[in-house]
Amino acid sequence: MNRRKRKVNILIYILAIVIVLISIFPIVWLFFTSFKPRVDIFAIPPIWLPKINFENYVNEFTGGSSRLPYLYNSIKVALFSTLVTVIVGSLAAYGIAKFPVPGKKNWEFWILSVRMMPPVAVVIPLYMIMRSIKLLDTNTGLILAHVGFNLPFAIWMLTGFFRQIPKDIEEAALIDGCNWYQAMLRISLPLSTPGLATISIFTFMFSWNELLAALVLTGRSGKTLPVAISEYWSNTQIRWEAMAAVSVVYVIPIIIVTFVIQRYIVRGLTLGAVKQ
Amino acid sequence: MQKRLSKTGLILILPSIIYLFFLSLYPTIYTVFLSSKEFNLARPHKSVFVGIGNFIRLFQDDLFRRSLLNTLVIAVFSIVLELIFGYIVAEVFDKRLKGMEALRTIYMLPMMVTPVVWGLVWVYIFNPNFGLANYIFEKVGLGFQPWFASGGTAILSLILVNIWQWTPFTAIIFLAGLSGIPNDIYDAANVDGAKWYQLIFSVKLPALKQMAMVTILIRLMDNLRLFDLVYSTTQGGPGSSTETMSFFIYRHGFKFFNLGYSSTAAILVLVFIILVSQYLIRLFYQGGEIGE
Repeated sequence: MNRRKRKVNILIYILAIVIVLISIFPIVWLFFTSFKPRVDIFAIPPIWLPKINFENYVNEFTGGSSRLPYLYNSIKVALFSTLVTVIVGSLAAYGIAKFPVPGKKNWEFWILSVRMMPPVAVVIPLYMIMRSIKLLDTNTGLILAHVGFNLPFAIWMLTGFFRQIPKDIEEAALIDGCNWYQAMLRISLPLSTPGLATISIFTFMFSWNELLAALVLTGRSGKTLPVAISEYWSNTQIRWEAMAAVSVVYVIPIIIVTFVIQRYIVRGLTLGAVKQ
Repeated sequence: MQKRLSKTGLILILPSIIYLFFLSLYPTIYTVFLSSKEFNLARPHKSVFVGIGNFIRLFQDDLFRRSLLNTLVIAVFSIVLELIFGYIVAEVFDKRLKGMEALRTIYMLPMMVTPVVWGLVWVYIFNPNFGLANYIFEKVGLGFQPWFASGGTAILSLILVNIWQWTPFTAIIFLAGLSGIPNDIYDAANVDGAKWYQLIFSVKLPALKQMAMVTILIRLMDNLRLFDLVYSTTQGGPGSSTETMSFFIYRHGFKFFNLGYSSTAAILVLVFIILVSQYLIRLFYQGGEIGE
């Protein structure tokens, strides 16, 4: 019986590893490609293990056509849109979770509905708005758009986190003479730090990965790295090795982040409907 | 006191409501307004009111119908296969063995990493002449495949990448569902001498029903607005073989600058998604405490 069990376990391990390999193989291939000189890109049979060589990275991130400014744009947009989203969102979430706001259920319902809106339906009027207030091709314009996309998510998730804080703790603080905002700043926010951190990371990631709004609202100086990466496509001769090097730089933070928030991924991507 | 509290609460949520109004509700109204016009960004002063003219034109537009059909084909095939593969993967990862947790996290990477990057990587792998896929295919005797380069196989390749990217989503949701089944149910089934397939069909699958529903609806909405993957792989081609609704809207709006016509299509997508999402939201609320 025990031997049979061990055999089953080994089989399960093999299956799990095969599944994982299928799933990450393209990213491994991306890393390999980023180290290859141009001639090796088209080699048949393919070169499996290239020599580690950072030439492509140096080429793409230095000199006249450096992609560095777009990386800065991405960082700025993701960082600031996350900051605004989490601050404005946590206020609203706190209001919904802790105060007897009239029509609360309706507001919640509406906020959740906004979350479901397809960006492609919003992006045309957004373009017109940004054009008329002269924010096309700026980081500010894209930040404003991303905050709009991510605010419903942040409010909905943070409301859930705030509701988990027992009422007694806050009531005790209020009786001891705290204002509601003192209670929020000193008790509720510190107690929901894991929640705030998770939501911040998710919001950052959504903004970091976003393509459509960045494509439409920015053109030259304001574009983010995903837009710059997609531009490798449009050339007739795609410079795969360059594309790979730039992509690897862009993808590394996300890989790290995935491990940090692994416990919350299901919850975040299903808007809290499924907990792990 | 009660009144003062509700006022404070309202002040707290007011900034968000105003913000969401300007970035969601107002744009939607504006889209409806634009859809009644013949409005080209290249000739902004020559906009004409056409009423429902754009809608009539849209329903007669073969390309739009094609994009609708393509979107549905992609959605249906992707979701069905993701459910099947997702269940299988969940069963494998559900075994509580050493190191399984780390493998599980690595497995989630396809849905976390920037979609544009994936698109381009797959274009490279699927390149008919020097791509890795064809090299392997020819080695094992499956022969040459055109992948994204031919109208017949492009949409299949797109579905393949879509499934590859999103099966982890279904899998981890099912995994959460499987780990939620109490152990005594398994014990009871064991005592009753239930076979493994009986366990699957009368215990596991019924327990996953609600989760499958949430998954289907979320993935349906994702697929209705599928853009990044199409943009970074086929751009709707070859011909119109992989044109999707989102890409149709993007192309008309920002390649041809036909914002009126593009808005019309956007409204249809919006209506579609509202129908699906209202159902989904009701599911969220049915769970009562769900979302907390």
